[in-house]
Amino acid sequence: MQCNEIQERFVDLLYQEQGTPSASTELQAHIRSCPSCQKELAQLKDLQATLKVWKDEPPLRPTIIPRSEPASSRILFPFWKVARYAALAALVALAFLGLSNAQITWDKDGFSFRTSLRSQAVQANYYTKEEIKPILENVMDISRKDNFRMMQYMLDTLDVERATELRAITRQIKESRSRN
Amino acid sequence: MIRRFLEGDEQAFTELVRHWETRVFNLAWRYLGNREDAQDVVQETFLSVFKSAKNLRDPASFPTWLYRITLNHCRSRRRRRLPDLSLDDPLQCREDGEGELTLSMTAGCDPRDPLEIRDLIRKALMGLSEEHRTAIILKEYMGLNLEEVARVMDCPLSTAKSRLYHGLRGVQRNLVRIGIRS
Repeated sequence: MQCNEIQERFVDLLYQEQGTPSASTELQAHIRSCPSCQKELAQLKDLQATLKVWKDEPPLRPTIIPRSEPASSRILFPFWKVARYAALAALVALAFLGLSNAQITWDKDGFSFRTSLRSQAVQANYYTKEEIKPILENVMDISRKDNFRMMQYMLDTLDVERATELRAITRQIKESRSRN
Repeated sequence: MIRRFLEGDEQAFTELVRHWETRVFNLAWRYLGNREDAQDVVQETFLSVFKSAKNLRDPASFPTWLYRITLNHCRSRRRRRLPDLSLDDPLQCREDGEGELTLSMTAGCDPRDPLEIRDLIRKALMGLSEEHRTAIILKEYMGLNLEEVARVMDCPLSTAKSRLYHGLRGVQRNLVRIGIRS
């Protein structure tokens, strides 16, 4: 048996507790014959005595005893707790309404509530000033052109009618002259 | 007393605290090396015990359960703090050629003064790893047997013995470094 094999078994020798493996004959024989292991065992026993110099001391102050709350003072739904949760729920609802571009109307047709989570869909219903300008210009342009064509058509029509009347009058003059 | 506490008797809990607070304090003090921190750990420990009493099935295992809670709180606290001592002591270290433990004195150091020795032991323990220190404190100071030490540390018996052995050797080396005869 070598010294390094038995070192951890010193604990069994040191404490000699009931129920733990007691030092075997071989171990005890080695200790008796090995000065180095004898010295180590003696040093460990000395160390145990030294460690005992550090005595227990009382705590710095008495421990505060935790107590459970009496059942009567525990209210299932205290007012401030409910108020806090209600305020939180209201904030969440307002945040949702704001983020979802909610529209709430109440008129003679009734109550209406609309939300749109896509802000572009709401903005698409309204034209900005810059968007309207070219549209108006286009409309006026188209109407200007249409007006000109209309005027031209009217003038052409008048010309045609005047020419027709003139021919009618000329024919009547010729007929009256021939009768005379 | 433990059984009454588990049944909800609050007076029993008060008695329990008064009975165990000194042991919990000394366990925490030796682990952390600091009395104020140890006092805080005592308070936190009994608060945890109060809250989680229903987790304890067997009243007979109360001591090991209590020490485990204490050590958990100690570890949490230690992780939050930096180590506040070192082995670079003003004491001279002297070791002869054979590694014999020798006494080395400097002015102002009286090795016969128990308070001085206690302080040196405290520093020697703080120089160990957490596992080695825990094993020594539980065995040498809390008076647990080897099986109970293994149960508190949640490791096999052979591991607990190994930690204890190496812990004792570590304390021995540290005490030599800081110059005290074992």
